[in-house]
Amino acid sequence: MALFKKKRDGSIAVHLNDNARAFVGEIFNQVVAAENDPNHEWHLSLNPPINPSANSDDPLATFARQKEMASNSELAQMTVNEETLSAGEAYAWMTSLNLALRATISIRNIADEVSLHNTDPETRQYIVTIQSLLFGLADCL
Amino acid sequence: MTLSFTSGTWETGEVTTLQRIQLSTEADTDTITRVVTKKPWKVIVWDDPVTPMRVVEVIFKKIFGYPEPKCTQLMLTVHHEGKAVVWDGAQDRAIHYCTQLQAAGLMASVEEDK
Repeated sequence: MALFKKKRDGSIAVHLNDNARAFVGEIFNQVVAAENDPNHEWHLSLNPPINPSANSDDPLATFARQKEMASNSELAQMTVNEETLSAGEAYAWMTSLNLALRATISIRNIADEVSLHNTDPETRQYIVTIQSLLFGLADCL
Repeated sequence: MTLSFTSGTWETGEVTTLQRIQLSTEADTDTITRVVTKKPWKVIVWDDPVTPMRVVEVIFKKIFGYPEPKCTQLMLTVHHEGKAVVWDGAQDRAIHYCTQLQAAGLMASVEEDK
C-alpha cells in the first residue's frame, strides 16, 4: 500500500504505522528545535546565505525565511497523527522532511553521489527512508 | 536681484523658473532611466545528491506557479548542469523567491546579473 494516497476530494490519506509516525514526528520536532536553537547542529544548514556575495543578508529576508520554515514545521508537527492531510499540510510535511534531508547531508558533508554512497549504512538508511516519504508526498501534490 | 541685458535677452543673475523646470525634468528623466536599466537579479537553484526530482518540480510549481513542463525542464537543468536560473527580475522579488526555496529545503541563492 502506498504511504500516501490522494483521495477524490483532494485530501491525502496517510498510511503510516505508529513507528513511521514516531519517525516523522521526531524529524518535525528536530526541524522546529533547529530553527529556534542557534546551537542545534542543524541550525546553520537551515540558514544558508541568501546572497553569498554580500557581507550579510537583509535581516527582513532571513526573518521571512525563518517564519516560513517555522510555520511549515509547526504545522507538520501539529498534524503528525492525522489520518488525512490537506494539500497545504502535505506540503508542510514535504518541506519539513526536505529540510531535515538537507541538514543531514550538510552536517555529514555529503556533496555528491560518491560521498552519499560512501556514508555509513545508518545514515544512508535514514536518507533513503526520508526520500521514500518525499516520493510519496510529492506524487500526491 | 540684478538685471543685465546681453545679446537681446534680459538676465536676472539667477536660474529662471523655466530653467528650474528643465533641470527638474532632466533629473526625473535621469532617475527613471537608471531604474529601467538596473541589472536584474537571478535566483539560482543548485543541485544536491538527495532531493528527489519530483519534489523539486512540486516546489517550483508551488512557489512560481510555472506549468508542469517548465518545472520539469528547470529541474532537469539543475540535475544535469548542477544549477539553473529559475527566475530573474527585481532584487526584492528575487530575495523573496530565494527565501521560499530555501524554506522548502532547496539549495538556492541570489546573484546580481553582471
